[in-house]
Amino acid sequence: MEEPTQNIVEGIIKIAKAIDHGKLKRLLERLTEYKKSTELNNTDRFDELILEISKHLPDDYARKLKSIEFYSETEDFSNDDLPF
Amino acid sequence: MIEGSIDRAVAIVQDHMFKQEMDQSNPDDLKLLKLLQCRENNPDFEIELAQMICGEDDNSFPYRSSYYLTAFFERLNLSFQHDGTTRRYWVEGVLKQLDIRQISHVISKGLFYKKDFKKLPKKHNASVEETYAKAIEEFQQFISESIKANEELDLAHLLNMNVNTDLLFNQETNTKDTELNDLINEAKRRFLHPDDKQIALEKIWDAFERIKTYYGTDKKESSTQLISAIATNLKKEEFETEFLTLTKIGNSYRIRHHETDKKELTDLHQIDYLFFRALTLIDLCLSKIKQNGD
Repeated sequence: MEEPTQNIVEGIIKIAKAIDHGKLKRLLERLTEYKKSTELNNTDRFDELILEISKHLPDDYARKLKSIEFYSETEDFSNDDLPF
Repeated sequence: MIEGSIDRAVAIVQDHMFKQEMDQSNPDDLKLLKLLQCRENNPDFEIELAQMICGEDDNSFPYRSSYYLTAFFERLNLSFQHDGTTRRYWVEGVLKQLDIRQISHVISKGLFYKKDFKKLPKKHNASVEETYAKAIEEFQQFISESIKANEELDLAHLLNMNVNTDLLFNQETNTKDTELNDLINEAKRRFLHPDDKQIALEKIWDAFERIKTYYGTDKKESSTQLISAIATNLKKEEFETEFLTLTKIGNSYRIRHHETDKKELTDLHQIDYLFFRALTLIDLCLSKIKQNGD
């Protein structure tokens, strides 16, 4: 590969990484917000967040993240306000 | 939510972000990277470390009861209280909630806190100093085995080198001679790719020839000045010999010249050896050039 082309490619990769890093930082902030709440009202939203974070991680890190058990079997997340 | 599960997730993300943000020329960051490599490579990293913290029977670390485990983390400003479950599994769970910076803190300020070796009951009939030295040895073995745990995957990767070598490798060259800088930086970059090692060797040898003229176009005069600059304790003759030997190697083998009478280097271990031999000498020259403000 020609040197200038290589430099451009490297530059683009750097920018893409920086954008990705910024996104991950924001997702991490959202995740730490959950630490403050004792109850989880919307598990779907939380699961989506975990999935979104895992997309920004390398495979081995994503696997580790997805293997974490977040909910205990005894927890009841049913919603009393369901229309039936 | 299962207690600590979010902290475990946070720790995983933090570890990844550390890898992205770390400064490869900072020795402290390199030490953390080394530790993180152990964590990545060894699936039993936390449980094995937990056994040391608990002071299980088969190691040299002080035995910690439930009370002392809580105290252990408390002293490190980490708020965890032992819940009466099996000690090593409980500690394993705690460690999984810590990112690599915190793990490092636990090891340096907790695991090797000398007072605990003196205060807590002895397991073996040995002095505190002997036990402490043995514990260090066991920990070093744990680190070395953790890195090897995934050897096949990482053998070709330079991050497996020791911290000093990493440091030598990751410094960006920034002298007033831009061509010299480019040659050294390219040589290092090329060396990272297994297919480019021969080119890396050629580039580092070009850099070696180039640095000989750092103080002027008369190679002999400039080299003499350079050797004087680096020979602060070791005798000049030692470096003159090294300069001559490397020059001879460069001219005799297919490194700088590609005539048919030049011997080809095919052994990758020898290429690595020659690369680092030249790089180390150049690095010494660069540090003295920098020190002298040249």
